[in-house]
Amino acid sequence: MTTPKFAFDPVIHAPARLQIMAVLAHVYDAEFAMLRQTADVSDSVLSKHLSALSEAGYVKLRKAALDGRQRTWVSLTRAGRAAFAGHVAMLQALAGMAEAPEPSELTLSPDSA
Amino acid sequence: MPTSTEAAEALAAMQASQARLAAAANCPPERHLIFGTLIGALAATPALPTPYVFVVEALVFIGIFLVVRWDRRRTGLFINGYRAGKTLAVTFTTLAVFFALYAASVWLSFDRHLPLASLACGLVAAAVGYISSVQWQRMFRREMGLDA
Repeated sequence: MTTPKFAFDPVIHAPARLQIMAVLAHVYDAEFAMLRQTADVSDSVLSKHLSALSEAGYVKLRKAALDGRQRTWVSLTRAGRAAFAGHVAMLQALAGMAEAPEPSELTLSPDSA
Repeated sequence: MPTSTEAAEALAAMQASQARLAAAANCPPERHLIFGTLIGALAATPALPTPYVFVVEALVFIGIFLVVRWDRRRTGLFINGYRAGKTLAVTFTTLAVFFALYAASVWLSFDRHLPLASLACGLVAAAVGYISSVQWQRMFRREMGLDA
């Protein structure tokens, strides 16, 4: 497995999109209603987010019938997976900087000289 | 570019959605039992007369198709057993044990003419399938940040 590159991605950074990508990164595909619940947004807002992610080439939308009803299934593309990994790596690096002690808080041990 | 606090908040929101995913993907006990039964039936097929082998194998594959459809209908998701992550070790261990049991079952039925021993292999494979399915889910929940 290769280490993801740090890359801030403005397409993914919106909170709802990050949540959608976080779910899709761990599944083969997910149904529209499931993603709506996870992101806690309305149908129209989810549609807009999915359109933006689809235009960026990060997700793939597929219509398929289940129980006689047409449903939309969403999956992550290879480009989407790479972009998500890079964005998360960047967020983790930034969050890690917040947890690191301030230089003034660092103390030298007696044998460090 | 987000600040470090915003980055930490974004990661926390992401982890919360992953935990919701793990909760939504939870399988009922009968799902694990059905998976174990399908695996066990496949391992026991060498015990059957040839025409029935194909019938049972076809039924197992239809069963797998129906389980996937049930999963999709129940959860609105399909999670591939071969997904990258800590669950992959469970998947490959299960496959290795299954193939060993299947090979033993073939040998016992065809070389040693002990069909009952093949059925025993099927029973062991069913137990392995059930335990693996439970373990896989436990590992997935843990990976998504939920207590197993």
